[in-house]
Amino acid sequence: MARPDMGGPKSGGFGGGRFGGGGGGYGGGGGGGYGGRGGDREERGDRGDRGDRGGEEGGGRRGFGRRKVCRFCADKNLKVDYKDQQQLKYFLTERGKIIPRRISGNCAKHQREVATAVKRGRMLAILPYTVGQM
Amino acid sequence: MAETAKRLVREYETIYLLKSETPDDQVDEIKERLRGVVTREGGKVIRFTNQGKRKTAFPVAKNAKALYMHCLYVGKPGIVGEFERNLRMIDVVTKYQSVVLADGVDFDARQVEADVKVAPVEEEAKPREERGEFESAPEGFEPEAPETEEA
Repeated sequence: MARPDMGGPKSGGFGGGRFGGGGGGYGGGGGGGYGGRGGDREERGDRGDRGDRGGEEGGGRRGFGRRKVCRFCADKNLKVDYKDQQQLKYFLTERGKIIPRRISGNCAKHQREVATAVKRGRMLAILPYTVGQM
Repeated sequence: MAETAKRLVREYETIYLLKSETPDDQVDEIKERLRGVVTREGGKVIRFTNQGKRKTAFPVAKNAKALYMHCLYVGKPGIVGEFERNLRMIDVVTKYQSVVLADGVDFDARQVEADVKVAPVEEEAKPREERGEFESAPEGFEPEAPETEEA
C-alpha cells in the first residue's frame, strides 16, 4: 500500500526510485520501510553475481529459477479456507506477514482470496497479526 | 405463474469464541438461545460445530485458549444483525465473525444436520514462543561465529 509512495519523495535524486522501492521490499526481510535505500541494494552485489545473464536477456524476466505455478489453479479441488490454519501458515512469514505472490507463486485471483482469508483468520485469532517484537 | 416459488435465502456461517473455562451446560444453553434467535427471524440452523478448545494466536480477553464454536444457518440478511446482537449480550463470548457463504439457497432444500463436536487440533507449541521470548535473531540477521583465535 504505502510502498510505492515511499520510494518517491525520499529517493528524490535518482530516477530509479521506483525500482528501489519495489525491489527493496523482501530481500531485506521486512525492510520495506527503507524506501530510499533501494538503490544501495543493487550495489551490495545482490545483482552482481547474476548480472551476466540478466544483461544478455535484456530486461524482462531475469531468466533463472522456475516459474512457480499457483497451487490453487493447479489443484482445482483446493479451496482457500480462512479456518484452515495449516494451509494459511504457508502464506505467512515467520513474522506473520502475508507473503507476496511474487514469492508464493499464486495467481492474482487466488492471492486476493488468500489475503482476505488471512485477514479473516487474524480476526478470529487463528493466525497472528504479528509475531514477536510487540 | 410460478405459484410454488422457491424461497431463496442466504447461507451464513458465524464463528464465535467462548472463554475456555465455560462449562459445557452453558455452551449448550448459548447454542439453544442462538438457535431460537435464528428460528424467530425466519431462518434455520443447519448445524452447530463445537471445534473445541484451541490455543489462540494471541491472547483474547487475557486468555491464551478459547472455545471455538461454528454455526451454519440460512435466512434473510437481517438475521446476521440479530444473531450478532445476541452474541454481544452474552458475556462469555469474546469474539465472533460472520461470513456469507452462498446466495440464492433454496430454504426447503437445505436439510438440517446434527450438531458436531470436533476433537480440538492440539498442537504442541513451544512454550518459549508463547511467551514471546525469542532466542532466534530477527530475519535476515546471521550471527557470526565468535572469533576466539585472536592472538
